[in-house]
Amino acid sequence: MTRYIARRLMETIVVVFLSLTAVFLMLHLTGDPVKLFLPTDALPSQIAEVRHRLGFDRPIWIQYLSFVTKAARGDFGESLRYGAPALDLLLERFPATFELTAWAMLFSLLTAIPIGVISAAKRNSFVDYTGIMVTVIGQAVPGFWLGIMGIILFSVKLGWLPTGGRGSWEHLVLPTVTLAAYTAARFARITRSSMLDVLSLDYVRTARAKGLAERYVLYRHSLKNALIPLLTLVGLQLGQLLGGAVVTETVFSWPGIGRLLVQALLNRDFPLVLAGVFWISLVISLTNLLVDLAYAWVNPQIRYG
Amino acid sequence: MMVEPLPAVGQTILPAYLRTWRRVSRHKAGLVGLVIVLLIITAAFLAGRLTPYRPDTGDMAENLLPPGSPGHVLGTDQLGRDVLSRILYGSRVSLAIGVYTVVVAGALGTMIGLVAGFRGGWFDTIAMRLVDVQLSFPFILLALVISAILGGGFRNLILTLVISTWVMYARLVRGEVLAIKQKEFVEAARAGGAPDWRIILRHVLPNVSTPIIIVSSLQIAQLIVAEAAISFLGFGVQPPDVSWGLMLADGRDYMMNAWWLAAFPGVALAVTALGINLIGDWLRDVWDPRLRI
Repeated sequence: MTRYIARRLMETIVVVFLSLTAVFLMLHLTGDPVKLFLPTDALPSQIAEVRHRLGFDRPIWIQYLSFVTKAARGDFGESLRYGAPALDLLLERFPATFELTAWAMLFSLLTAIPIGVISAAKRNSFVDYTGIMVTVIGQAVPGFWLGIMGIILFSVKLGWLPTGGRGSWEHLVLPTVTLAAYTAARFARITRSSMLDVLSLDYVRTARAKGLAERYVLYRHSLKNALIPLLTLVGLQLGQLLGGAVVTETVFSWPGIGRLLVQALLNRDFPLVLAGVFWISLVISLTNLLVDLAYAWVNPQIRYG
Repeated sequence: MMVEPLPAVGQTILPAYLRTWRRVSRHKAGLVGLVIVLLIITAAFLAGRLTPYRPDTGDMAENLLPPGSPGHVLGTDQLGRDVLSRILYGSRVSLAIGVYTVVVAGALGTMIGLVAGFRGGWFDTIAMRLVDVQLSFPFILLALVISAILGGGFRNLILTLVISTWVMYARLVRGEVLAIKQKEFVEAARAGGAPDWRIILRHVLPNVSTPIIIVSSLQIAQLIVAEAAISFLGFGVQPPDVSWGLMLADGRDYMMNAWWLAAFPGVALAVTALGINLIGDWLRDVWDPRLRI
């Protein structure tokens, strides 16, 4: 197991390094960020001075080496827009994104599991068809549009919830539901499918033949095994949630990493973009590792060597 | 090998196409999806005939008219442009982006997956490491980074989505090829002296086409929504071109006093994605229940 963890950590480093290299090369091969920050009537001497100060006049391979050696120390330079260390700006915003993503994941699981279990238990009934329809629609409806409609209905028309920003629990409601909608629908479908597989197994038939109440059969004997595939998906969906957070944070003006990254991309703020790529790659890779370890803990048949 | 039972005395053997149609038509949700998509394709083609208004010109004297206003069923936007016209013309952009991306990304990813899976070796190692790195990054974020680098516009957006999407095909096809290349008919072809390229094209590719088609049909819906999200954030389709994502961005700015600017493009987007997803589910259930979720 220790060897497995060490190997995965090495892979994480490689993945993060390759992601940063790819984005670094793409960013430097197009466009000139210096011109974006200077007035359109800036003199060539002013442009050259800023370019020299920021190091963009050096050959690209020197810029890359400098970038890699500094990135290894966590130094991604200063944001071209904000003038503060890029990684620090991201870390300041990370708690907001973490809060939103965590609540969205929790909400997804709390809604999806009951829907999936009940749908499977009452297969081919009206309840099942309703559940399937809700999940199919949930996977089709764009989350960010749902968010906008939520703002129009609950904030503008009814005045129950704020239109955006971060503060009390009321600020969390709409962004959480918006971000969680697609994931909850996907989880519900997986749970239903997985429950149906488990309910067809011999040991469940035995439990029923023994006369156990259906709720014991469902929740005590079947659910734990049915959740194992769902656990695998949780890790995979984390990347989806982080990506979805980018759009959701923009819709609700939520002060997280996603919104900061969108601004950085619009402004061609290279240091901030690179710091963002680094942070997100790292978080996703480490979370996937944690999920895989949790999977092995839940399912003793899994052994990592 | 399963042997089909002999028909009972007096029972008619239906032609294959009728048997297929019966199997296919039992999937009611799929038929609903097909009707939805056909309606949307028809509306996209006939946009110019269905509405007298251009999507990019408006009358400022008629700006922000609510739905049901004379001459504007779905209202007008902040520049007096008819919302229904923009939705109809925007459907062309969405469908075109979805289809073009799937065709190009599918072809590219399939080619790479076929060679990686069949030949193996250093090409497979490099290709799959690249796939793993790319798949480790959230799709929409990757698309935004590439879009920000390449710039906006219809063509750049397709290129962005192709770069973001090819990996899924490469991984899927490689996985299928690894299973198929162990089969006897491939060994027989190899023993018969057929070169690798012929084996791949004549024997392997036809056997991986079904999962590719199924995944592609589901991908189109995801790409249409992704395009809307990217354009909504300001990176994709640019004015004066029309896109549902751009309409949603405008709708967000006018949420307080013009709810219809966000509502109707979103409904169009959701219905389109739903219809395509239903068709994708239908194809999967009919052709490859292994892929069922």
